[in-house]
Amino acid sequence: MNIDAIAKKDIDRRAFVAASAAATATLAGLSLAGCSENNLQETETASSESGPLEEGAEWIPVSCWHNCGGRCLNKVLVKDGVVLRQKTDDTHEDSWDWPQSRGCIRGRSVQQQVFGADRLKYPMKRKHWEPLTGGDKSLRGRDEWERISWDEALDYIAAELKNAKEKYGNSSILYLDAGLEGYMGGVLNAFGGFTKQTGCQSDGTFEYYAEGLFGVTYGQLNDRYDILNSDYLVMWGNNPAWAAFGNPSYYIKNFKQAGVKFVFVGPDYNASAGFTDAEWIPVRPGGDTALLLAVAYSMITRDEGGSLIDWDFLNNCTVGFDSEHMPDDAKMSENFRDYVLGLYDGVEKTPEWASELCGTPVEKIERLADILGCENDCFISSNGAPARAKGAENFPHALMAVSAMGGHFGKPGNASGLDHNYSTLNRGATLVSLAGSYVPPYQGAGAVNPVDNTIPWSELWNAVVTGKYYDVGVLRGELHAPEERDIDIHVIVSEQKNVLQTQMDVNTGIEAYRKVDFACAQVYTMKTDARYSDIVLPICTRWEYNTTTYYDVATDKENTFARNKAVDPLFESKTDWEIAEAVASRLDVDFAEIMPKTDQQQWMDAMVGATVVKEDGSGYEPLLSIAEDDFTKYGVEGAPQVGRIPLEQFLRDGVYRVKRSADDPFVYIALKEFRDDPETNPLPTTASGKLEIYCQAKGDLFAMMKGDVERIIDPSPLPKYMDQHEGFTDTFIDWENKVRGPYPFQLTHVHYLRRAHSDMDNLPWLREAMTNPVFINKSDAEEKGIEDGDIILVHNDNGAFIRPASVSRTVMPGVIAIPHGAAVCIDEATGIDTAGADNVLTSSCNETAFLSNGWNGTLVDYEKYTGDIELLPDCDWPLDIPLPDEE
Amino acid sequence: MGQIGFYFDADNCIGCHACQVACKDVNRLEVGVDFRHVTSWCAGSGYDVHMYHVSMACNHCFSPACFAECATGAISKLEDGTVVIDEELCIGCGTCVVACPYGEPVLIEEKGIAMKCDGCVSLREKGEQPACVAACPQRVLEFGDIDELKAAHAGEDLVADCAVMPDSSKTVPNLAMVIKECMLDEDVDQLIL
Repeated sequence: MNIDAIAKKDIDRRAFVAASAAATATLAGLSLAGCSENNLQETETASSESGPLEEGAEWIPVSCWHNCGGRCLNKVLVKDGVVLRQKTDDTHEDSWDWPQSRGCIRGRSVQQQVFGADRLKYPMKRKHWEPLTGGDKSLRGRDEWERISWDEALDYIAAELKNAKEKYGNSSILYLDAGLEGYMGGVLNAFGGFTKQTGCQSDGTFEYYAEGLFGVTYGQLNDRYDILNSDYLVMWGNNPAWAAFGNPSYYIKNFKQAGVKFVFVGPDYNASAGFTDAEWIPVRPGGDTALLLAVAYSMITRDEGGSLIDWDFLNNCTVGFDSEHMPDDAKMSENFRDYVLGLYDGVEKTPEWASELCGTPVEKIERLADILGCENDCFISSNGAPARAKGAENFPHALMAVSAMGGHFGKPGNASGLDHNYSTLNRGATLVSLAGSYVPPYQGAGAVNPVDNTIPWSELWNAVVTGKYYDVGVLRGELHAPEERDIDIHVIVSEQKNVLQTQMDVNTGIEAYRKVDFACAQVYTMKTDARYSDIVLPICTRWEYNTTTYYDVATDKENTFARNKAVDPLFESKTDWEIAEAVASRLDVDFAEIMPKTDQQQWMDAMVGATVVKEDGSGYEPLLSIAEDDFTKYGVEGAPQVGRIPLEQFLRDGVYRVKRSADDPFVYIALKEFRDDPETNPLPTTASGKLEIYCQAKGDLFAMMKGDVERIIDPSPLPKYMDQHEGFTDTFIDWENKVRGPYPFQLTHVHYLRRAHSDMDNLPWLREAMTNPVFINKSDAEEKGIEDGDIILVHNDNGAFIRPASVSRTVMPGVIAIPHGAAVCIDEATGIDTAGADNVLTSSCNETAFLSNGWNGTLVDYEKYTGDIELLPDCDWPLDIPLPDEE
Repeated sequence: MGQIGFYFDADNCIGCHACQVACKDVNRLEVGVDFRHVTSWCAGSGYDVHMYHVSMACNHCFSPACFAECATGAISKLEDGTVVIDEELCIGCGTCVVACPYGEPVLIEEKGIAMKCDGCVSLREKGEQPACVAACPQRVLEFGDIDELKAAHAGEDLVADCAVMPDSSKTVPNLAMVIKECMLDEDVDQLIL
């Protein structure tokens, strides 16, 4: 038996590139701008080495820089500038106390993002674009592309910016701002400013409460060792297995083995619920506040001497539950208990009342009330998803109120709040971290943007198209009463953001893009912002240079990661820093003043300032020992220092993880001191110093934001039920008589493991592993004659797409679950999107509270697709290669 | 020297496909070719539903159907029980592909041969774990001497069958699997994720 042939696989760049090429078969029947057949060129000379190809190759820890909600170790095996394969954490033995930081399918596929045949090679301009007028702007998104030089591209961009400033003022420049590198934002600040955006994003309406408005904010939850004490882990709309990759679902496995029971609350029974055999409490999208109020009703009416309600906690640690415990600053005499019992509006918030609105069966509501009762230790881990719906303004407040009724704060095994992204299910003080957290230069201390216009994200595209919007200030900054303002956007600058894809209402976004005079984008591959732009600049991926920005610092509290440049920049790509500097010089802006540090210096400074907790928990010490030679080697400045491990070890291992134990000083229980002695340890953010179930500050905030504009927002200080625009009741044109309207299905979107938001969705391995269907309920499907795998047309007044249906028992009737972030691919003949882009369907929020968003608050209908578009599996789609003939 | 095999804790698998893509990475597999497959399933009804996932590669069976059916003698078992295909002897007839009840050997049309999971022989020679095992974020896959694996998990109920898998008596797979109760439920749908 010749096993040599098996042992020594033909691993070289050639084989890798061939793997990318496999995904380039022509997509017949679709006129996809740029999606032409691939004439693949090898990116570099393939390894010609024979024999054991890995001999002499080096493992390098690299950046896994995506906005995925997790952070893990990613390493590449590199030889002669060629990546042979990847691996994840094997730096130490794996245990509960000291787990490895293992990555996911996306991390493992980054090689296809960096070296994919669809990597952009050169600056490009749209073929029919004309300077200063835009040429035929309707061709944006369907034009051809032409290679141009860097000087041409940068000169064009500078000329457009100067022209817009001169003719229309700086507010005509829309810089799409999502807080990543943000170098161009710094340049535009110095150039006279740009129009900003604001509003609730990932965290949904939890963002109203970010400063602890009613007493607590997110992340005030317990350490993973403490969760072992819980009777129940309630995953409220949460799916760590998909939305917070890294360790959280491994932690959950350990909770499960320790005997913790699981509950899932949400419209679609997900992977996290599945592997934990969680009890399912179904609730329609946006129905969570009604559900919580009915849980409160059930607890109030069935409590017998504290069998369900923790009266001591309510009386000592909260205000506003009943008339005996109102806060001093209350302007109204209403309390939560009497609201729930219907004393003010004549509506008792019974399980029957809620069930009609939220779809949760009455017995499931009672069951949830039992689970959340004070005799159980409950860790209530909410995702932002329930708060990303219209009508969800009071969801975080109601969740706190019900959690407080059960006493689920400040004692072992108990916590409640928003718990997604980094450090999910493992909260408490950071134990090890790179220096600080990255703030883009346009937002940092001293950054001044002279333009005073800030458009709410959810109304962004309408604002560009109509020229009008309401300015309410900046969320988590200065807010003010709504002011109707004119806005006249002429230039859109996208610095690696892909906002056109990820904000609501893509079709209006396309209209906006086709309206402005000029749009440019900086990308590795043709993301949606780039496709609809005039000038596209190719940027380096994070494997091609060193820097440290926000997503490098955000990790689980127990670990931090090193990353190294692994290969030289590919083709003509440049870093965002280099591009911003080059644009600055053309705008007569002093870039050194904006960005005094190079990327490489930023990278080193983050490590210089890295700290790790002392073993006795008494403080922090430097993580890294760094010698004079290290600074010289990497061409940066700095003073030598002594730390726990040598820099070179950190850069070689790629990770430092604090070893834990059950008796270490880091086992954290949020709000414990407050609960134990609320008079001595009052909450710092509320007027009463207590958890405010009646929260005057919230009522005042909502009243101010409502102003005199007709919007569905209840300025009550209590967490009341609000009518939900585009919620379940709006699936009827006549709610009283239950007459169905044209869009009877509620959309919920799910963070999809195939991509990080819209990032990485072009990678063939991911497209094959997860096929991006839409999930529909089995009985709904039977009623409509749809079988598993059938192509369905999902549509509403905002747009339409076609996708294969995954007919499933895991989705509530009347709900459709759509994977978030697919890159819109409009069939120009019909206007139908073929990718399943969620935001083709989601609508702007012109009827709801300012700054909220409606990703999980949209109505649609669907049926079996009978049109002519042939839909191939995504992994057989051609890669989007805009310059197929350039070598 | 013994017999290698896989331990798979289906009770804690999240169906994330990390094993499948790690396998692709190490074996440089193109779209359309996988030596490890992850499938997802759903049982139950109403709001009492159950989801599970099955991650399956070659089980390096005691009685491999691929080996039995191969007309050219290209399939053999290594000393440690790894079932391998000799690329020189394989004529790409596809018999093994049809024979395997687990759908494991894959016909590679461009090469004119069948290929399959070899338990990452080359990585094991370097002291590494098979790629799928090293990648698994849930630590639900293990590889090694099957008797040792069974001994290490002696307290668990280890099986090689469930409702969506073939009868293990046909090929006697070297698979020690922990399953959920719902994985015996015959009323089950495949769930495309």
